[in-house]
Amino acid sequence: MSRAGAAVLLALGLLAGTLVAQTGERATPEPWFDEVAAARGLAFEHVSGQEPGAYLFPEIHAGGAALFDADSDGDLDAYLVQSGGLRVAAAERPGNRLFLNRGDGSFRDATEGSGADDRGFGMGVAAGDYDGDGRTDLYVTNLGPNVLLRNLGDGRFEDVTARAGVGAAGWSSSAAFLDYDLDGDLDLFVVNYLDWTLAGEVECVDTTGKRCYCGPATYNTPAPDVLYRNDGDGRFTDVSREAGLGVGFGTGLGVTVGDFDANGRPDLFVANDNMLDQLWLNQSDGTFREEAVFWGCAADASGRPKAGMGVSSADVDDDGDLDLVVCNLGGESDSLFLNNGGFFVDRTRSSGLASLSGALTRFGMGWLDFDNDGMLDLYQANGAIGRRGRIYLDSDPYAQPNLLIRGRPGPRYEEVLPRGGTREPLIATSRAAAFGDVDGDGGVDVVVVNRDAPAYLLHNRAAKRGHHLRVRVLTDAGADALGAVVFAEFGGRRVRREVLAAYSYQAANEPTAHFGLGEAEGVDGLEVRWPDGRRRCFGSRRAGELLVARRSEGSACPEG
Amino acid sequence: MRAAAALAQPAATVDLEGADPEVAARIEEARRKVLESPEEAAAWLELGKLYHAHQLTEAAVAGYRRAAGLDSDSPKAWYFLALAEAELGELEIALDAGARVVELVPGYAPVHWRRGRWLESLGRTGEAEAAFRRAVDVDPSAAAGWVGLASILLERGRAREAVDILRPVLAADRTNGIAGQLFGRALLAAGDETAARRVLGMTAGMGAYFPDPWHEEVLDSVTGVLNRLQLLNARMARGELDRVIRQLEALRESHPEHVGVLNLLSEGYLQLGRLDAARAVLEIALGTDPTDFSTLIHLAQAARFGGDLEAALGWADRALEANPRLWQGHFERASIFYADNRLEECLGALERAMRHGAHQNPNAWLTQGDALLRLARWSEAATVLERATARFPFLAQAWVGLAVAEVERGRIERARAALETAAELQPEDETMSAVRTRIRELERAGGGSR
Repeated sequence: MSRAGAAVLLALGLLAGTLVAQTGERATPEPWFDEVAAARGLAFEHVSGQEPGAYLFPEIHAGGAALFDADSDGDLDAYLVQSGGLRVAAAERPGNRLFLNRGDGSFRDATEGSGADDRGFGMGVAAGDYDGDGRTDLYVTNLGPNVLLRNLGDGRFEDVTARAGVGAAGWSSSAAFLDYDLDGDLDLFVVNYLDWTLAGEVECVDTTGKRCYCGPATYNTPAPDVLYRNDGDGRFTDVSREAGLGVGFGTGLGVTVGDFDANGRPDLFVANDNMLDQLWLNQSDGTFREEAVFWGCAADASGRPKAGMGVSSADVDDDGDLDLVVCNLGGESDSLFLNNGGFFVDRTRSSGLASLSGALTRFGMGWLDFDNDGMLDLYQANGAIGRRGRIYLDSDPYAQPNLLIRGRPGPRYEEVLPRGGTREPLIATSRAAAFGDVDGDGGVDVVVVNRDAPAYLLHNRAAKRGHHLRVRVLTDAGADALGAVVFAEFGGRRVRREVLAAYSYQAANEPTAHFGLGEAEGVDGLEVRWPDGRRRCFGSRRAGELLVARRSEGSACPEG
Repeated sequence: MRAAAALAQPAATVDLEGADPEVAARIEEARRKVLESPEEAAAWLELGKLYHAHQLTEAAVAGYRRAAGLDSDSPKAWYFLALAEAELGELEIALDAGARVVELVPGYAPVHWRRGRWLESLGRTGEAEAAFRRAVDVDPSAAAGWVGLASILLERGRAREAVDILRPVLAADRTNGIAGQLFGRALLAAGDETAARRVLGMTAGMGAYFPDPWHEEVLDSVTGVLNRLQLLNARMARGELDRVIRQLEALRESHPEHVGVLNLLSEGYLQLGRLDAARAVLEIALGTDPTDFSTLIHLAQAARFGGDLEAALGWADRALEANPRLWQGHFERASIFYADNRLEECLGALERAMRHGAHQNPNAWLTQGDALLRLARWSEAATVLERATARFPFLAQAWVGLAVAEVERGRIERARAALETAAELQPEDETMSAVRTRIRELERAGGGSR
């Protein structure tokens, strides 16, 4: 048969049977994850409060998730952000939930009496020890006033929003704690989406004339993001204007933090929806300069803005600097930006990512080594905003399968089957995905919040998982040293991983540096760089270890 | 509820309940035709296009497949099938269908550059390069082919060659944002950071339109007044003013009081300077919805363009009453005050506009800078215009304004640098000559600072 003839038949689907007959039975690949939320006590069902036929825009964007150590017992607890109806009185909303880890990766609902059950129309959450007491605090983003929850220990929290001065109202999406001025305490960056009100909601229709959710351009009210400086006494000051962020209006949804220009100061990358993304480079004098266009990461190679949702950063090509991946709306590919030392190069197409990601609408996302082979993989939590494209679930036209994508050298990417890494595809309208090793077995697990559906807890059970090493870097007070960097040497590589909680979408993630080592039995050298630039070295370490790195420990690193 | 495996199979039915009656009627009519003549490829093709234009892509694929099955020599059936499959992420199938188009109509350039893009997305860069080269072989004016080729070369680290390919593309169409962004990235990779920053700034967010008449045929199948308006709005944005106005006038015949149609039509008339025609349709729109924000803003603009600033202010105030949160209302007021030389009021309105998002608009910055210059508030003007140039480095007028502010502050070197940048962006004009003269005067007098 001629190639043309085959092409004709292929496109018509007439050869499908033949292909199956020729290839015979295919072995079903072993899934990398088991969905164990119900079995492990993570009983959380998000409630958007959607009003049939109303199509209120915020309903389709929530909710968030955090994996963090709420009770300082060394394991990861979960905080899941609830919404609960835009016209529902706060007291009648279900409220956010706190789940404490029993120490074996199973959870108990510890919300009652915790003080953490904020009942705003919740969006996302950030985690960090803002008051330097060694306990991880939470900042909850809402449609309406945001909330700062100070961790009192033992899984109890106190709402200190008013005292701290960080309760700005509006529509916030993601947030990040970072020490932008390197004064030793954590400041707070809040990503705002739109200036939206219930009264100002607009009616939109899709291409068939049916009612649907609008896009952000319909409202044309992008909101400025906010930078709060930690004053060191439990209070914050809004320094957005003097820091140069005041002109930065955008439809912000996702954020990540990292030193992209290697000047020793944390920068910010904001994924905007249908607007150019922003790269705020820290100028070391208390100000930021927006440079995304000039660094080539404001849009993809076409220069057209995409609908940025989730974002993740890591040194994916082992060249010592931070790269970026941004996920977008269905019909648009992800954007893979490799840092070339002063600008980014768009490698979305040549990495294979463009052909994998474009058909689904991606929100939560993490660039982590799920199979511990030493290469960073991608997990993407998906769910549509509109009804165009493929409908996967009759009961929820926005539901889509999630994606698990394996990283290969290059980097190159290929989808892991079965789809989403689970035996049967999980199909829901997924939003936040939070990443961390909840049972301490060396495999990165995932918590996914699904709109109007139960959350997933994806336990990593990848059969061919390589060795691993985990490094928890602490501040002097004993909290996670957000902004620290860990370098590990193994197999002839020097691999960089961040101590980073803020990435994905509306999520706070385990900030422990996770190294997949492949077949290596350990690392030959380990260097930790704290946010203030001071370094300590911890020599060779065996695989499987969880190293808790304190500045008072280790040894001086060699110069250079 | 967790999905069962069976649900992984996507549903393909098209539910028209609640759809726009006009859209539903057209689709029903096309369905009836294929039922009446199920062996007629043209009927399936039309149904496929109709689905496709309304983003019912899976259903469109089914229609196109039937059309191609009934007439395997129909290049458009294969081409549309390829486009729809690509939209669903099925690039391998799109490539196969596209290959059939190449066999049937090898001289149609868009199929080559689209195949190049799909191949590039699959990481098959060698084949992608060949496809892009074929596109420019069959049509040397196919900018998409050149851009694709440059993208491959840049990927391979051959930045200088990419620069050489893109320079003429951009010279032929300075509004081609895709070529501009790629050109900027190629310049960065080639080490020319200064030129790169300028090009990247100039073309950020602009996008580009690569002609593909067959694809336009699909888009033209769209029905329903809102869909038509969206299509025509996009075409107006890329400068097809005469054609769009003709189509809008035709649309108006079937929707004589539709505010959206009247607003877009008035926008076209305003762009052509046909103020009376604009006012006439806006009066009709106003009769339908006296609080429509766009109508009121367009009325303000029509009055301002006609020199009736008092009336313009009245319309702008009414627009702000209708929606005080949209920056366009505040900016229109600022523009009216500016035209009326009421500069302090202009600055006040601009501040409100900026608070509501006018930072996105370069004209807001220019107006603010110019008002401050006219008030001789040199230092403030310099601050505003410096921020404008940081945000919009392609804005020659902002650089000129900055030069004016700096020279009046006696900062000669800064003025000269701003002027040099402006000169790279636009031809010398009277203002620039005047700044140069002023710089020379200051130098002769030994004044100024560096």
